[in-house]
Amino acid sequence: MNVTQDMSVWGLVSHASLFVQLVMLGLLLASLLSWWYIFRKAFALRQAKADTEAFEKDFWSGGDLNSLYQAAAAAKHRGGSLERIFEAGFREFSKVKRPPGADRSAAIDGTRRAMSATYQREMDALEDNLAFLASVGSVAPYIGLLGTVWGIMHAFMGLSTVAQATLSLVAPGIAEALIATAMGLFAAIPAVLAYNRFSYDIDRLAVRFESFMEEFTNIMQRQG
Amino acid sequence: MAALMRTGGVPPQGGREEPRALLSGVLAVLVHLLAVMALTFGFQIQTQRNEPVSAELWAALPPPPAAERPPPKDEPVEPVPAPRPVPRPEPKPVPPPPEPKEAPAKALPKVDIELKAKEAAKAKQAEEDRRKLEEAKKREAEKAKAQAQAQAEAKAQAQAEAKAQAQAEAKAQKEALAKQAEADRIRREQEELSRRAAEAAASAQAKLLASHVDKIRGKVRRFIVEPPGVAPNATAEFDVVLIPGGDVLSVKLRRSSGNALYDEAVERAIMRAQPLPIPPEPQLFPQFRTLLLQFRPQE
Repeated sequence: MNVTQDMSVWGLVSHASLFVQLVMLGLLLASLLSWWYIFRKAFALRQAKADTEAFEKDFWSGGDLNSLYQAAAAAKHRGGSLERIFEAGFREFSKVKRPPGADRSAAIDGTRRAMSATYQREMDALEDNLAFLASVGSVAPYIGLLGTVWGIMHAFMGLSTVAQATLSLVAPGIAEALIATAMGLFAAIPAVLAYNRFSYDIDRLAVRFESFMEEFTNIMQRQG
Repeated sequence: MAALMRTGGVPPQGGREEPRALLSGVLAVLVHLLAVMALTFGFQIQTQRNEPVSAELWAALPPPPAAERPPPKDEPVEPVPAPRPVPRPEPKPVPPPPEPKEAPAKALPKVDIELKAKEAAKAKQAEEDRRKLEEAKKREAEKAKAQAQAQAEAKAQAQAEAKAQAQAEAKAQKEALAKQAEADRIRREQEELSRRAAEAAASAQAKLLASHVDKIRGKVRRFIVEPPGVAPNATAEFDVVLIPGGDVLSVKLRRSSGNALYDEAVERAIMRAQPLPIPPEPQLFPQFRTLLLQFRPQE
């Protein structure tokens, strides 16, 4: 090992052993991917919140349910989650309502089922990729640690061949090994933060969806 | 019934396409670039600070400048540079003379006939050539003279410098010798002084030691209960090991007095006389750690 080694980050990374470099590459990819998901999810959740608020405002402003349904059906792939839940419920309700004199409770049950099915799908879409963030957050530090341990093992094995061990012989190896841990933490910390934040946001959205479903069922029952 | 179970249309899909996937990707890459840049620049600043400084060490100065420079460094050279400007003004006054003489020569042929003028011109030319030659010779001679003078001066200067240097060296050597002699003398004096001081200190210490040992013996003697029938010149010697504070660690009979009762009496007295009166200065204690105490019945 050379004492006058390049101690910049690039020098350290390029001097690391192959295994450590692979670990670093994996961590870099994980970090890139998790940041991509973080931004996507952040934009998507912001949009979902705005859509939900807009639809709730429309719904409670006392407009005609039929016209609301028409609008929701027309914008099926552009509207928000709540809009789609309402649309599914209302369609089911109007389908069942057609034969006059039928049992109301059966129609209400159908409506509920349709709405909860849509709700499940919407939640699934919102929670998509959150598991990846959780995985990166919990596993990336360990992977980085593995790279570090491996690198330090290498550094000490190299020491066994020299008669006199000095700090300057081990220091570069340890420094380059520690970069792996740094990268692991760099990948993990934002992922954990984002995961917690998104989980909280999604939970709040879920509560809003569920309460809307209850209220809408009540309205159906009153109408029926 | 089977017909009624049919489901129609597209299968329902939750969510919708995320429109900002590309933007998110760009942002993610940007975050990493920023992080890498921060790391790189942060580390560069740190590594640049402790760059090694290289220096060449010379045992002696390189020879060429050393050969040229030393003379002007010496003090006696100061009057020598004065003669240098003297040779220069001499060649200067020589060129002006031909110019004023040329002007009247040109005026003459204008008045006379051509031939005369030509002859005159020729003569003039010859004369001028001769004069020029003469002047050149003169100039050269002067130049040579000046050169010779300069050389002589340089030589004289060099000689003077060499002499001055030799003188300075001799003087420096003498001074160094004198200095060394002086230093030797001072050192010898100092050695003498310190030796005397050491002797004085040693004697004072020995006196102190003796006085303290006397004190200790006196205290021990007060506790001796002398048995009857002890020869007056019987001497008991004891090796006593003390600890700081004056307590006795061990007492060993070194030379018996010939009377076992007296020996025992003295040993008991030493034990009872604890703590023995050792000097209070802690730096003196090492000399009292092991004591040789002698006791005689009649003292």
